[in-house]
Amino acid sequence: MAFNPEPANESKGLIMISEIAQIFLILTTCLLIMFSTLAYVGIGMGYKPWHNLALQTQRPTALLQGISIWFCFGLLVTLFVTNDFTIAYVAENSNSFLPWWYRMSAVWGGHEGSLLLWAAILSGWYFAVAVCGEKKLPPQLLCLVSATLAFILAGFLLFILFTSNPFAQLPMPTPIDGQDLNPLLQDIGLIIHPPLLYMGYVGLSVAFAFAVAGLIHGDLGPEWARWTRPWTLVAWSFLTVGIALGSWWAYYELGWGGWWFWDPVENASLMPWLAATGLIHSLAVTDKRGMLKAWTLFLAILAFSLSLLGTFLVRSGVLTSVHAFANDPTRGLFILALLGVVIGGSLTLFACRAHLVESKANHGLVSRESGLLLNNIVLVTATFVVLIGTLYPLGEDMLGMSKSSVGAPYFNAMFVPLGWMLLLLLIVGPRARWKKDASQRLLKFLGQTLMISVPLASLIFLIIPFKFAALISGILCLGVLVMIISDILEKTRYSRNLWHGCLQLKRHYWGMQTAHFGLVILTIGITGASLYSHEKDQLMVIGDSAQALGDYKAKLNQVKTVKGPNYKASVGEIEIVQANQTIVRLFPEKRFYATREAVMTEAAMDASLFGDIYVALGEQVAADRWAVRLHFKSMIRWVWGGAFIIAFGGLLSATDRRLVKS
Amino acid sequence: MIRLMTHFIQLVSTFIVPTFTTTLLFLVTVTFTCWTSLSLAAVDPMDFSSAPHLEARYQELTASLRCPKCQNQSIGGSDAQISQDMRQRVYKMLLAGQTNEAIEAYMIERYGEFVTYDPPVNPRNYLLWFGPFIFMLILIIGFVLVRRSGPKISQEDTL
Amino acid sequence: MKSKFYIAIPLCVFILLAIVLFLGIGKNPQHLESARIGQPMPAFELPILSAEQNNSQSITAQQLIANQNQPWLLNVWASWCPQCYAEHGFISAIANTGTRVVGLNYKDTQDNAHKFLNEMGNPYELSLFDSAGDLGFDLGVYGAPETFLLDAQGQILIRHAGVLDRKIWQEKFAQFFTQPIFKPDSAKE
Repeated sequence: MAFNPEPANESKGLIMISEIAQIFLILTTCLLIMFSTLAYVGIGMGYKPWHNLALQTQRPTALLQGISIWFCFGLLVTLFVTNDFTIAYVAENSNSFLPWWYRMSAVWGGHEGSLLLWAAILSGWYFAVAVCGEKKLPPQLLCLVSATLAFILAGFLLFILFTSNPFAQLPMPTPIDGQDLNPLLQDIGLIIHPPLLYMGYVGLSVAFAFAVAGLIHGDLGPEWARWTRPWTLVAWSFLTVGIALGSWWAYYELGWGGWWFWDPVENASLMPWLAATGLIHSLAVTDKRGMLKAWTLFLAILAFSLSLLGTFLVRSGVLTSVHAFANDPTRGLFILALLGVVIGGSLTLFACRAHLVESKANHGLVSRESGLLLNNIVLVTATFVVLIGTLYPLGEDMLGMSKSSVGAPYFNAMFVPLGWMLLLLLIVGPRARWKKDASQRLLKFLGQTLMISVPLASLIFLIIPFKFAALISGILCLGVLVMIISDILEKTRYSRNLWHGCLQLKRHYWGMQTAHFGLVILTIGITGASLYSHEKDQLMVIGDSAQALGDYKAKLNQVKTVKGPNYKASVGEIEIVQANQTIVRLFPEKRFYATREAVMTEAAMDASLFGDIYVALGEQVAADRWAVRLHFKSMIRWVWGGAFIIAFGGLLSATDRRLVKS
Repeated sequence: MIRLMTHFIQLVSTFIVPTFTTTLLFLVTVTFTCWTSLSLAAVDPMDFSSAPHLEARYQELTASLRCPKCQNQSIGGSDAQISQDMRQRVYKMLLAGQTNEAIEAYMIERYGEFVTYDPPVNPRNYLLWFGPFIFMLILIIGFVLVRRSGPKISQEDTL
Repeated sequence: MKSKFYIAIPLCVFILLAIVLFLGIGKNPQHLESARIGQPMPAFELPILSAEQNNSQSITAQQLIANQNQPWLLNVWASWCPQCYAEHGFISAIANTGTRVVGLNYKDTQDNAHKFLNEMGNPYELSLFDSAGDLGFDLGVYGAPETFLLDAQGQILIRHAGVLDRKIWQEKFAQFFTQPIFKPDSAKE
């Protein structure tokens, strides 16, 4: 990093930008603290003099904070795009040779900036809730919801200001150029994955705020669940997409074809997703039947708490992960304090006030409510598995025992039976009647469904090798498909024809079926990718080397040297041949980034419906000899396709007229 | 006044910045860097032409053994020197006819239980392996009990 | 009343979790306890690093651990390891107090090893030449520098991974010596 010894007089104008941003952040923090205090004391505790003031300041606060924080975020983006290296964060994560779109996304490439993104997205959700809830929610409830969101946002802003300030200046002299964005992050994945993931992660705070507001208010009427549902569904959908994108990004970026590693950071995003999936199902019960209120409240608190816990795990240095941000104990302590206040406070509130909203269980042992509750039990157990597996080494260390590692073998062993249980419930659950149903009726459905799915699933093994786990997954997935089709037919049987019947069905019904269908696709993808993929590491000679990969032969034609904007690369040409016909030519690369002195593998893949051909270039062993990795990743696109279908279903449900109308 | 606050924040931050920088430096000097980029996923061709049936087991083992010095990577996915050494040993032991358990035990003997991603089922790990089932059982029992305490449902109409 | 009890459980679980997390902060999650603590030195037969080309003496584990009457150190070093250069001064200081320090030259070449010792000085009673890293592997070594403390009978007492300095010596190693090996006013490094 070369240094410019002259004082940066001409950048004095730019220094002002960072100061303006910090001032606005401080002002917003004060505003948020003031408002949440007013609201909690005035409405929550019923202190009359502040009651009306809280109601009056609710709207202006929401609008002001939204404008202010996005303004500050915009300023940070400006600093990056204009290459202002007087700011430490910009100098650490950017470089003037970086293309402008990476310069923009480098804003959230490091710890400080990603936190500001977190705050900005929370600010956005807060703004949206205030605007949309204006007409629909009773003003006191809206005020309490806003106050909770304001409180959390203030906590994050304090964290940013005190320990992770992206606008902090680099001491003189100003470097001529920045350290460059980590080459791994110079990718479209960085542009889309964090914002979408945070939309989901942070969006769960709305359900949390509704739960806290409901507990404080005490009177949880039937509308509470109806108001909370769309917000939760949208956040959950975003989280689904965010996680799927993360998996896809890891797949093509890391160069070895893995798409889920059960890494602590991945687990940190999976836990709130599992809890939120339970939450949306539980909200359905509370909305429809006014039951399970306390359980739903608990799940709403749990989901966001897991989001916060995830934020802690990723940034505190407590766990080892390839994805972790700068590990720092001081920051860890601060986030832990924030966790203590937010989660501890909400759980205390829950412990003290949940008895006010308790609803008596009013359903038969065999009923749709039971089915959904069992679904919740399985999902919460899955959350528990991920939590305990991720924190186990930490617990051992605390007890002074020697550490062990908990990884894929454990999680897969636990998740396979849990997944099967979920699918089994899904075969009969949606067909069960509300309030009370007869077990014979449901067993009949199950029997009929299995009579179709078992033979069909077995037929598949005429073309692929038999594996027991694949058989069970196949039976269950086909069973769910049969359930979906038969349910649609059942619901449209009194209509003129199928098409009219389908049009009559509500959007949220289609959302449900779409999401469940997406789950089937996802499961098929996971089964295929896990059980039917091949992998081979080969030493290949340039020219006439051809090695077998299942049906395909691979030929290494040549390896060229190519220069990129900020890297130098060796580009290989691999020709895939099947039955003497060239299917595709793939160009895997090995890149060397000068600024960071980092070497990166860019794998090349040929995607198709039933699998990817995935090749990566390894070391050059001799002048004409290279190590090459050849993969066939079976059904891998179904994994992300399924996840996107699930998210689409969630959005469909969220926009159902009943939920959106006032 | 506002400037004062900005400077106050900056002052506090300047105390915190050296604190965590020194902590970081301390951590860095006490450990040693794993320089090899995680992105250079180890492509390490082993010759299985004499025993092709062993290749699947090799991939299984290299995926479930952990690189001792990396930031959470398997020896199959890491290019660190120790990962390469471990892969070589796995390869040699497979060719010598050792079972997966024996190879795992060999590694655990030298590097501790940390080195395998598959925690063994011993009394120490009962919480890990049986905890979830017990947890689920408790929830199901709770569900049944809470439901029992509610009113009885008659044969009236359902939704 | 009964439900009240259930409802407080999440809060209790969270408090427990917060304690675990709090205790975890500041700890190094990468820190790996050696699996060989309390076990005898693994058997081996390795050549001794020697300046003369033809004089390739070998030594076994038994020979190495024999005839010791106080704890001694095994220091894993290599010429390709940058931090070994940083640590070398302290290792020399330990050797100067009369404590036995044996070197384990890990995955290195004879030429480079000699260059290192000629440049930095040789504090080792002898250096085992482990070019393949086999003894290192048996000891659970995963990088350099590492230092093992063994007792007079050849049992491994502790393993420190990373640069050894005065502070770490005081914290981990000093307790095994009946008398402090460093005089209070001796140089810090």
